[in-house]
Amino acid sequence: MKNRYLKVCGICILVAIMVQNCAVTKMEAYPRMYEKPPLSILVLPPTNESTAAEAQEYYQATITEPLTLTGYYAYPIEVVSDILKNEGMYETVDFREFDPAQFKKYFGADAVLFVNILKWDKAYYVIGGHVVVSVDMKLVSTETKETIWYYNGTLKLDTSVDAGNILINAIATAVNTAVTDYVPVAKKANIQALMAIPYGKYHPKHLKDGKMKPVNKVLLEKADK
Amino acid sequence: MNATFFKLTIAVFLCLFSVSCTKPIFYWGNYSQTLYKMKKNIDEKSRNEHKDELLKIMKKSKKKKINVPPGVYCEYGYLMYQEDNFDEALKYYELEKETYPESKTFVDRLIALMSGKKPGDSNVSSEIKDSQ
Repeated sequence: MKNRYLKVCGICILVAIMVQNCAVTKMEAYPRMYEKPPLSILVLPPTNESTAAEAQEYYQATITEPLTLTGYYAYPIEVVSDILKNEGMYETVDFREFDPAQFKKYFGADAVLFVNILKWDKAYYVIGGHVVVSVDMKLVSTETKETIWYYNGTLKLDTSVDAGNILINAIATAVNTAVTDYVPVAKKANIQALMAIPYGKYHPKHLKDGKMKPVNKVLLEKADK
Repeated sequence: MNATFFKLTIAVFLCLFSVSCTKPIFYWGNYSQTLYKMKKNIDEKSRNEHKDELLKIMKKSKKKKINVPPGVYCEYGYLMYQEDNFDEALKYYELEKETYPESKTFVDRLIALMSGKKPGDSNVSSEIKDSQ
């Protein structure tokens, strides 16, 4: 009995070690985030290459909360968006063309987060539904102009619980309620994307998470450096 | 002996698969939902719901003895500014700067917007597009 128990434990620990070795530490993946940690991050309105026009709005409404929970100061995205619009810079403008230093000068931001939605594919079936979300995120230092953090990934998020509501709401033509069902989905996608970001100043594990291994080596290979 | 070994194994597992289980540093309530609705519906009701949510976040944060999340004071101040309630706007802008000194550059710009300047008067476009 004890022997079998020991064997099972041994195998489990071995598997755990193997899984850990497929991953890279945060510090290995994003050294610049530890050399000069940014305090404030300016999130610009996301660009949208997906076929779902509404994806951009879902992302914009749900990125700030998870970003601040990883310990960063994030400017209120709606206010930023409004100010930029007032200056004639609509969401269609390619902010990547701008000199990042200008964002430091105008907003005081240490870094700028560019979010690009690549895919937002919804699928419904009788018993439920899911959304396949593909996004890439790039954090650029306003001082060095280098990319200091990035994420590129695809997630399949289950919307089965909500699917029933969406069908009911569609039948009832309560359009407003139907569209808000994807807010939790977008938030989950943002939380997932930000899991590999080093913790910011306001997080208790700031600068203490360098050895954490949430970054998959395969993900790094795909990422556009 | 067996019980201790078992407990040790659990501890090892928890360390190996450690997920950050620290308490959330900020309280955001239902922010994302009310913000999305306000943007989507563009009506008085949704706007008021979002304003109420921002105030609720401030109240609950105080109760939990944690800082109001980044940008919440600022966003509420901006909503006040849009309603021409400049005194309230300034009050919340100052609270944002006080809580998050790194917001000073941006919030001072928002304050400048109120002092008789029309939105188009500022030099933002030229500043930001400068070295293109």
